Amino acid sequence: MLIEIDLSSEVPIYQQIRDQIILGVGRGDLKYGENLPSARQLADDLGINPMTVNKAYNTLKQEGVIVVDRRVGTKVRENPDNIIESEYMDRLEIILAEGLAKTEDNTAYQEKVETMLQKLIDGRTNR
Amino acid sequence: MNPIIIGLIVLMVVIFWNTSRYQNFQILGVTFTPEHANSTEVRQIQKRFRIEEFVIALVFAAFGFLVQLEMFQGKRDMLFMIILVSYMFLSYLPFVLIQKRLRNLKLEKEWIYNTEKRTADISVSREKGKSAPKKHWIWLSWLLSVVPFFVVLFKDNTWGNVAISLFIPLIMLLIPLSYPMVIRTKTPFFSKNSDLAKTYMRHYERINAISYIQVSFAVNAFFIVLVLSMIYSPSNLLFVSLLLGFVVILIGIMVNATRKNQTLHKDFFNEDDLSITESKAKYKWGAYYDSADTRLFVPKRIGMGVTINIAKPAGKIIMGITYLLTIGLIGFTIVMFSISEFEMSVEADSFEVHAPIYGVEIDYDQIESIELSQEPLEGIRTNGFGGFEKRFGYFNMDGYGPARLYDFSTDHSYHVDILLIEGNNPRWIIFNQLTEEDTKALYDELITNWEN
Repeated sequence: MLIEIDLSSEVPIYQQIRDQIILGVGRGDLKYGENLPSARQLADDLGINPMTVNKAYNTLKQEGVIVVDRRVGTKVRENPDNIIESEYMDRLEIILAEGLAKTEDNTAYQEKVETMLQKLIDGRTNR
Repeated sequence: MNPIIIGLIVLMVVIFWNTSRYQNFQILGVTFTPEHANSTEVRQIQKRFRIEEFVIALVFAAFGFLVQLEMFQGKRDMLFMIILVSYMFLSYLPFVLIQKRLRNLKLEKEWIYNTEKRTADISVSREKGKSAPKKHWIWLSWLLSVVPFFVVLFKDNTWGNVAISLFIPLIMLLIPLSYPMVIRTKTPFFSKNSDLAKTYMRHYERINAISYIQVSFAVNAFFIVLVLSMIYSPSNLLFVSLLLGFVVILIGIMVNATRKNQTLHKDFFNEDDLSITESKAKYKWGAYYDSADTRLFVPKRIGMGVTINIAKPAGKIIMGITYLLTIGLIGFTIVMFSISEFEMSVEADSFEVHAPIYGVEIDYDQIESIELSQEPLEGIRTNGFGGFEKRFGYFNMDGYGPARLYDFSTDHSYHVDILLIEGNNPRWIIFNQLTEEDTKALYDELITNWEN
């Protein structure tokens, strides 16, 4: 799975790394229980400070997406607890509403969102 | 001709030649696509750099020959050091110029590549470090650097020798400590095909880690053999052969690694996959400088290993301390030895030379013969001080062998040679005084006391 960061982007680098790992897990590019490289290694490969990668990893750890095992290092959480927090649903609602606020064509928008979700799910089941 | 100068110049010329080749999408730290690197303009700049380095080396070799003239006898050590330091500075100049020329050419031709996007493959990053030889190999090579300490301790435990044999392993510690960073260095190849990228990474990592370990073994082995040869059989011929052998081995390792990397690159390279990220790093004060890079430790852009980024405050401090320590230490040593004097005192039952670090006391019954001689004092310094006005310490003298030398650079050629009954280092104690009369007077006094 590729991680690409843009140094000129306004999105902080740690956020870009966090987003791409989430996308990777969502798409199934990264499987549950799969190991992640050490923060130092990923930092060296991206040519950035290890603290930045650490920050991304810590955020993901707090969000429950990854776990840090002292023996095997950092890995994607193996048994997600299948609970979608209401806080996440609130954020999703705002993002969906944001899209609706920008279009009048509700059906087309709904189709786009559904295709996107389906693509993510398909990606996971095909792996 | 001083073998150190020859060895260093040969080494520098080959290093410059080798490092100015196109490798890992860069020429001396300046990024190029394979197509651009192959252009006539770039090749010409590379050629110019090599000629400049070669000419500078030749000029300094000529200076080295000049210093061999009779008139510089006794002052050679100091002159060689001045030549060496000037060479270091001057040979750095073409290095700065080529980078400037290459950058200007890129601007002129508008060959500007991506500077903002960075890519890493998680499955490749995860596999890093698994193909390199284990850490204990590099630590084993470091252990070799401790051997001379024990040898010196039991065999020749003078203050200076013990300090040097302890100081070197400490410096050598940098090699094993930077090994993990060397392994972590970014692979200079990117492919959307993870399996291909992984295979490339494994080969690349192995080539570089192995050559790093080889260099470490070579440096430590050279150090051991050098110390042992100095203690047991100091000879100029052995020293020159050792140095040449060491230089040849280092060049061999370096060229071999470059060649392997180039073959690997050819085997795997695919133009469609090419995604070059350009580094904004520059050289300031001879060190890596990139204000956009947030790291303190960065992989060297030329050669193997790790260096510091002096755009960071900590980097500036480390560089400042290193420069101050180096200049301060050399300056302090020169000043201390230059102002300090050596004095000879003839006692009833012994003869004593008072000198910083390299003093000596001999009982008369240890002496086999004392002679006043006019033989020219040629030889090389093995552990001692060589300044403009005097040289003293352990020397390996032509026609004598291992000797303690206390030589004022004077107009007269007389010196007193004491041959010891036992001992190989030194076998001789050779000294003179500032004036011919003083030398002769000291000889007379010494011979009278010894014969009584």
